[in-house]
Amino acid sequence: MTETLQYQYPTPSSLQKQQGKDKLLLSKCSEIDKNSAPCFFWGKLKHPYELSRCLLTLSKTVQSSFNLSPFQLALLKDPIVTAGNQQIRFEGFSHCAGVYARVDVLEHGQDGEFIASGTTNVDFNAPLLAALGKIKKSDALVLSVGQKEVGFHKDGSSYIERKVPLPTKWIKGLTTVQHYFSASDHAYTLNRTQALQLFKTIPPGKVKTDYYLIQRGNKYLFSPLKAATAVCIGGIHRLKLLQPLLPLINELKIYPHKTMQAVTFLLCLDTLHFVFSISRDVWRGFSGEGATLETLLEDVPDALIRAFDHYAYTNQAFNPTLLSFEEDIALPEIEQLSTQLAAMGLLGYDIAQNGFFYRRLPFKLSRILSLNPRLKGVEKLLADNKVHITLKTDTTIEAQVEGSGVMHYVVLKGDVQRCTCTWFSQNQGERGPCKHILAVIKKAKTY
Amino acid sequence: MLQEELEDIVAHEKDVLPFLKKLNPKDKKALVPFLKKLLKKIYEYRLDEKGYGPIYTNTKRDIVDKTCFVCFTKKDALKTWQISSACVSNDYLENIIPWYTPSWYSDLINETIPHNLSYEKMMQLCKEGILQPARALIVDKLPTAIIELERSNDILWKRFYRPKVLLKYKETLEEHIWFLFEEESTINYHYSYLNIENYNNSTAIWIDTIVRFTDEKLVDRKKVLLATLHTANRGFNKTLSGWFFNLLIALNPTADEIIVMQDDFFAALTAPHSKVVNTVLQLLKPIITQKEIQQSAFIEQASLLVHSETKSVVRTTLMLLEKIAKTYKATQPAVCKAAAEALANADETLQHRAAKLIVSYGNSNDTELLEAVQLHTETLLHSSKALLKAYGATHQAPQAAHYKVESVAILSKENQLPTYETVDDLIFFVSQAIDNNAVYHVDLLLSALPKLNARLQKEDVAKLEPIFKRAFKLSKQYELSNSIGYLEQEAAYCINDFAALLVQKYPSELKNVEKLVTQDQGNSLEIQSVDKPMYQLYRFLGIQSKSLQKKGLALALLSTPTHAPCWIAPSTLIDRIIAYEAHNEPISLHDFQIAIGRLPLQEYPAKSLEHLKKIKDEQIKKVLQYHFDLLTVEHIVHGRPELWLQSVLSKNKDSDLAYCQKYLDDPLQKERSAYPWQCEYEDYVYEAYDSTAKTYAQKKVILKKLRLQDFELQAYDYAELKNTMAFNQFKLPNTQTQLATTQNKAELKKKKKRIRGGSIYEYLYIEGKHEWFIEPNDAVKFLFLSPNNPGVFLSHIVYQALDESSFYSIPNHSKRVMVQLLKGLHEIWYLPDFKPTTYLFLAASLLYGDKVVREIAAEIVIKAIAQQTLNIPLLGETLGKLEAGEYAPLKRFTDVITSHLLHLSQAHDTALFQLLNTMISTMYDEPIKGLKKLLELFLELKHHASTGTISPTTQEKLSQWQRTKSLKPLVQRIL
Repeated sequence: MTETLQYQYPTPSSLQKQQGKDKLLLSKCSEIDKNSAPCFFWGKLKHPYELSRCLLTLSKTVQSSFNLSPFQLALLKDPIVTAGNQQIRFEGFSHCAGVYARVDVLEHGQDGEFIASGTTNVDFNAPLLAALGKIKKSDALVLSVGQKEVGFHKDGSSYIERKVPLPTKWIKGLTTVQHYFSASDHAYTLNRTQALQLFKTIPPGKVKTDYYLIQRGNKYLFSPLKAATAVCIGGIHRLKLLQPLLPLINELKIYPHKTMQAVTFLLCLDTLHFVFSISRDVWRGFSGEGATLETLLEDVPDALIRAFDHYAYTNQAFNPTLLSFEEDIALPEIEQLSTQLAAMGLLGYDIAQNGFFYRRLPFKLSRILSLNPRLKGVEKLLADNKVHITLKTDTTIEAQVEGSGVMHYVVLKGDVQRCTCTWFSQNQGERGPCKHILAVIKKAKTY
Repeated sequence: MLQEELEDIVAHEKDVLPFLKKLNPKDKKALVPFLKKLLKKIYEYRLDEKGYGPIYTNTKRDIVDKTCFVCFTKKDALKTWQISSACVSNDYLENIIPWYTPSWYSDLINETIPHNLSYEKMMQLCKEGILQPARALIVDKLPTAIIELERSNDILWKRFYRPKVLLKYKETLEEHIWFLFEEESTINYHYSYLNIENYNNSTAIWIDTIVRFTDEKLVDRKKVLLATLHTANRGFNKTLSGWFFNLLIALNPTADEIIVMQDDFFAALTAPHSKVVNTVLQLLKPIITQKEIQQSAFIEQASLLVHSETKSVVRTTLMLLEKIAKTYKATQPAVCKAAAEALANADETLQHRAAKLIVSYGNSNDTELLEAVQLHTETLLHSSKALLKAYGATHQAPQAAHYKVESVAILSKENQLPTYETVDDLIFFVSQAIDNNAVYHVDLLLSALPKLNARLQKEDVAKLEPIFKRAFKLSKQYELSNSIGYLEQEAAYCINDFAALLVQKYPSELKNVEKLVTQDQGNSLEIQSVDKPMYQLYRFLGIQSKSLQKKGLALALLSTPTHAPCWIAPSTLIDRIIAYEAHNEPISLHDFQIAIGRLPLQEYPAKSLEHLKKIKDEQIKKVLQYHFDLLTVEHIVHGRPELWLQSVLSKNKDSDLAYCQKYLDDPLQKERSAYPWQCEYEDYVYEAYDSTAKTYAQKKVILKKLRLQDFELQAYDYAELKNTMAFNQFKLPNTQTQLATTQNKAELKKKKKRIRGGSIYEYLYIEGKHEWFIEPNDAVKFLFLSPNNPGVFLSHIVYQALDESSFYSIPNHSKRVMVQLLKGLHEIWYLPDFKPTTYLFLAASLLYGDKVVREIAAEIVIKAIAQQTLNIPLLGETLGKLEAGEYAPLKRFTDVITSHLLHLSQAHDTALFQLLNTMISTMYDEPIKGLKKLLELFLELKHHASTGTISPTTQEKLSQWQRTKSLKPLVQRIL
């Protein structure tokens, strides 16, 4: 049977008028923390109009799919909210796992009480979205992440339930994209007019060819031709999701991944940040990328995870130096850990702050860890004794790995890793190492 | 026991039901493995003298299907496609369901949505408690519920519109119909093709139904209006979203209704589709100034709407803003601020309208407004600037340094290609050469294989096994993936032959490959046919590479590029020729010509020229000396034209070409791609179905056709060409006898030479009109065979793909070819004197029906202007001649100017002004559609160009156009 994920909400999310104010109740649920506090945050928002537009864009991202069938599209997933440390973040992925969006309500963007902290799924239903669309600039809005008044609904009697097949790609994408953020550098800052002009150059329809963000004088534009310093953008039509937000921004910051495997757009509003990241191509979800696989080969000691879980609290910046000092663990080991912990769904990345922050995805850890088929392939190769190291020196490892009816040749020389398999040949390591290389690396450690 | 019993039932086609009824759960489980095998067997097909068809009868299949239905779990049932539709058939419903309904029955139907289940039947099963329909199933079935299929006699089925079905079950109108407003469905389908007996206006069948039900109060009108408005932001596709707003128009909401629901109307303005926004704006238009309307809420939305890509949305928004400002003075500052946002628009009319609104209702002392206007000063067009002077919008010419050219030398370190020297490097390179990771990989492979062959040690041979297996697999594939082309398959053939060679040398190391080699015998490069002439050139190169492998020589092919994308450093070519001479290795004429064609003109370091003296062969040396401007043409016109012709064509000097022509029997028309052309109107008659008359009728359209004259004359006898292969090696030792002397030159002159299969130009053509066998990934590689003379290949693309520009004439495949070719052309555009066909290709690309193609063409223009390598009069004349015949909507060209070319730098503005000046003078006296916009741009450029002098011929043309009323004021402003 297909594994399923069940969203179970005590009540639907809603937007209601109460004493002249709009009250936005976001109903929450988590499969790992069912007994958590009923309410994470309750308070006023400084720019409700902007937040409502950002949430609508997030919802459109979550509802969109750039390479899946309508049937898969119908299986709607809910966004995730993280509240704590004076910040609220809403995040989600498109169905195809190629587009990531996050709304960060900054510290000065809210005036409320963080009753508890944590990460949870939130119910984004159709009436709520219709109501969000009606919020005006002059409206006052109170946000409640979870119900403040327990007993408003009878426990267990009227849960809103939605069952969807386990969104494997979605969860895996959420864990992988953080690594891409951490390997992205700031390239451009555009003011609102420049951003509006830039987005007017997106061609109509679904575009198959790569586009490049280039600068000409004070103008920025998307061009189908590559230039030396240009930022490469595959599946550029996905950026259209951002268009409704552009008139509201102060600045647009652009962060290309160091090898152009993703591009992140940071839309800066007065009290909000909207982070939007797209994968290298329409048909490539973040979920299928293997950038973090090599670090995942290392087993993380349980004691370290427990120490980390104990030490961290929601939305707290992940400070490797401090953790290293307090837990007496070598700094390089901790730094490598950040990638591993992000891949386990324990860390998010704030590109504006250029650092990881703690948040535990509301899915079972066992689910998250079982999602990497390439790692499963590695384990199988090793278990079946199909990896044969033929040479090992200080700088070079050569090996033969049995593939399906063929023997692959793997060479690891310094930083260069090569294999004769089709995956490596086509991608040349751009999408992470193939399972043969990973298996050789793992075996060489004990060889 | 049970298995035998079942086999007997199937074999004798007995009634299976008694057997099924007696099975207990344990029996069913035990039967499953056997059933799976039986199922596979029973659905087998045969191909024999009777033809192709099922082996077993339908009755036998039916028996097995029923057994599967009774015994299978949900997982197995889902994998058995025929169960889905069978289990809702009357047969199953009458004979099995009464005594056995599997627990997964509803799940199966909900997940597979059987095509033969109607809405009514679904509801009936629901009422009987057999089926619990999911939302997706209801959404799928309800739209077709109102059309009933009825058998009028034994042969004919007829369809009837019967909306009463919607009243049969109370859930339909209370619950189900609203799902259609929440999920994507087929409610908007055009039912005209169904030929409904009692209904004519079938395109609006559901709109009519909903409106009627609303009028008859069967559904709540307010609920319908709100549900329709909420579809705006449900993420529906463009057509469905538009359909719902056609429904809104049909519902015709009253002013009172709009006022009551104004928040929902305003929320619909954030919809992504312009049809939705436009409809709402049109409905708001008559009532926007009523006091019950919150104008402030609209102004808030308006500041976003003016950024719409749809001009009509911006236009109507500005119109409504003006109405509000006129009626309510207090709103004027906010209205003007919203209008200032519209100044970001590049369209002159919209910008002008926004500027007028600001001037009429704004206050130039309002600092907020001043700031809002000044944000756009740089992008304001001349007419808006003139209006907004009081707001600090003064005329400024674009800075000269606005656009920087990336000046990369053709031969530089940045584009130098890697060389592979170690065996490992070579193995891993060969492994990726069939993946099209770079455009030059196939070329590099041909030189890598001889080198790998020469350096390969016995212990390394087995490493190649996975690569050989991939190459064999690719060479047998009929359909190629989007990322590669036939040239990668050609590369795979080369690797196969390399494998065959190694299998002979290392049979024990390549045991697993030997079988493949044996299977592939008879498919060697020399024997295997090449269907497409252009690919033959690469086959020649492949054979040349193979010849080097056989001899164990590690020589590179002469034509292998040293710099991306296709260039060869002169010194490397000279070194390669010297190496061939040292090994007494004959030179392939094709290889030599491609190599000469890939030498960048203008980049000849003195060191290379000195090095040239080491070449022994006088003919080759002279050709190279001529190529490097050390000799004049008279010294090379001897021997075989194939040896020197490429050099003369690359250098492209008219005097040299004229001189050569004296010695040649060929007119060199195709080599120079010198085809006269014109763009004319032609009638085109086709048959189309008339749904009203219910018959096929002839229809006539006028096509604008681009015709290359004499092009058909270039058809070749390809079979003869193929036989000339052996003729095309240039034997170095014999060349001395062919040296030019005054005497034999005179002889030559008497007997003009005919170019034969040795010339690469004999192969650079595409066979058969509209047979797109040039793969997009291959096209650019063919362009790079002759980068100094791209017109030859491009003339074929003009003939094949650009003969008309209507939308239906550009299949996706052609778009991909165009995109790849233009990207390639952009890379190799460095000469100021490309031939007219190249300009025709560029001009037609600027008018092409796909925006991406037009944008890349515009990038070539930008680059060429910046590098001063654009023949502006020629491009202007070509565009004018094309648009004289109205080859394509002029809007395509004016849009690309506005979005990509305007105000990049004064040099660009000046060049564009000159371009339009020539273009206008070449167009017809009769104005065509879209001319007003072109003239607006001409006027705008006149203000910015360094020299805005209009030529007398253009002035004359403008005077002609002045007779048209709509153009007169504009022409007067220009003149």
